[in-house]
Amino acid sequence: MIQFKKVTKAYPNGFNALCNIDLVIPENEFVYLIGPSGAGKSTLLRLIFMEELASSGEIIIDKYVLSELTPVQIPYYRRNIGMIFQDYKLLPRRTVYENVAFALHVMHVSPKKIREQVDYALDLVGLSGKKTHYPRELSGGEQQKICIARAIVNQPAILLCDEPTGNLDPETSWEIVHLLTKINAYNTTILMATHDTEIVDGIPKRVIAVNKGILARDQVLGTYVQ
Amino acid sequence: MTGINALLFFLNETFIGIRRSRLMSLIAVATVAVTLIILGLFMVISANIGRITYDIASKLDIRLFLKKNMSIEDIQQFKRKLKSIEGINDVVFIDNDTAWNTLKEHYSHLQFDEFIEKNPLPHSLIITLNRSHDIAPMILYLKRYNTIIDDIVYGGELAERVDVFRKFISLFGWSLIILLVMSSLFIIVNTIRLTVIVRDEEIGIMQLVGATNRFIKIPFLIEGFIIGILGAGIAVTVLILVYNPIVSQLVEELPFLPFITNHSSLYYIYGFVLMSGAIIGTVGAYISISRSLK
Ligand SMILES: Nc1ncnc2c1ncn2[C@@H]1O[C@H](COP(=O)(O)OP(=O)(O)OP(=O)(O)O)[C@@H](O)[C@H]1O
Ligand SMILES: [Mg+2]
Repeated sequence: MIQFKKVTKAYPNGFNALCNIDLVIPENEFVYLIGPSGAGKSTLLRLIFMEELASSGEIIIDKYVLSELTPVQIPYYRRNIGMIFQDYKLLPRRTVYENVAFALHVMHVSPKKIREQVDYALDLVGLSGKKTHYPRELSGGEQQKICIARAIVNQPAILLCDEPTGNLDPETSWEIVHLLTKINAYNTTILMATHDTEIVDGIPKRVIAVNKGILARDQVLGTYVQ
Repeated sequence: MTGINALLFFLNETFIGIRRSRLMSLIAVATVAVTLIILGLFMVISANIGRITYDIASKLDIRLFLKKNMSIEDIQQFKRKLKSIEGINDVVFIDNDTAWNTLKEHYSHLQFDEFIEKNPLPHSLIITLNRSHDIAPMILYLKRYNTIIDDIVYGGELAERVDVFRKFISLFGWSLIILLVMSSLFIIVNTIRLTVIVRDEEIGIMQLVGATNRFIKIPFLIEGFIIGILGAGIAVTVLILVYNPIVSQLVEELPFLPFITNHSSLYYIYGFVLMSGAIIGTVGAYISISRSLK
């Protein structure tokens, strides 16, 4: 469960990216996070992922109260959460397989299990045939899929997606979203920041809209425009 | 992950890191090697001087070479007189033939016989003292018998001088070594920093996928360790290759000094050098990566 209690985020330069956000997202839900550019969507995801810390208020993710986590605990906390980055964040000098496996090496998983889980994740995103390729040899959509495979390879409880269809053609975008709904069906909470009207209206889910750092709308089975 | 798998993974990561900053790693290895060669040389020299000092100091007896015109009778009388003096433990008479034979035996490799026909040595007396610090006043006392005694030879003074020399050498040596160790630490810190910078983005991604700082540090620490141990290995190899030829040359030229010819008694120095290399490398890496990871 994701829970925000009066959360405010002011960046060091004094800019208030989020103001007084209250939010509850139960387990296994699929939520679209929408809003114009600069509204604070990425900031909200970064707060959950602990790339940034809230200025005030309380964020509770499952059994973790984020303000109480020490720097040493953060890596362990992150292993419960998958993040699909807007800019992929792949290791350029490592193959597709190595990129996905890396997330498991970090957790000291045994080589046998690493093979099994990476093969499974790559199969799920449909990249089994490109294991030995390097990221630069792949298209944007394929790189996005590696990023998804890496995010889900250890079966996290929560998957955060920051504009996963941002740079993709409509067909590939649909493919990615279908993939996400499939992952959601395997008991993963999904929070997806997006600008994609077609998708939000095409596969109706709960919609949370932010605008200028303020929670503007929270609607079950919502649409992109109210 | 079992220990061996973890080790393989980290070693692989380490070599990826070293490959990406090859030149800097090479420079670091060379610096460590030079530092440790100097460290090793000082330790080896110090060990030899120590041995020589010990050898000289352990001969804390006074040897009186007597005038040639002294009869055995006179000598026995003089010996009895000396024996009665307080502070003298024993006086032994060495007749010149015995002394000559002993000397020839001791330095048989020099083959004195070939170029010296007649025994050149006088009769002598060896005085052993009760306490070593009586030596200076005793010498002073003995000097008044200049009609009987031709020459007085004793090791104490020489030992003292050699010891002063050794103290000077080690003071100079250790300050130089500290300086060199600091500079190789500095170079290692910067080498590792360079590999850290090269892999900065990668470290960021590691943190995002849940790597602990300890996990991220390990390959860099191994890298430092490898640089240190490689440098130390080169240093020890150089020392081993250089020691025997130099010492056998010295033994030939200064046969009276007891240089350490049994090489294996210096292995502790090589062990120390290897350990120093490993420590310098690992500590340097630790300083560097800890600063970068904050
Ligand atoms: N590190 C930062 N320091 C200062 N201000 C920041 C920082 N990151 C973001 N901001 C500001 O916070 C606001 C929200 O940024 P955020 O990235 O969350 O927007 P977004 O909703 O994800 O926008 P987009 O749809 O364009 O990705 C923006 O006005 C941005 O300028
Ligand atoms: Mg954004």
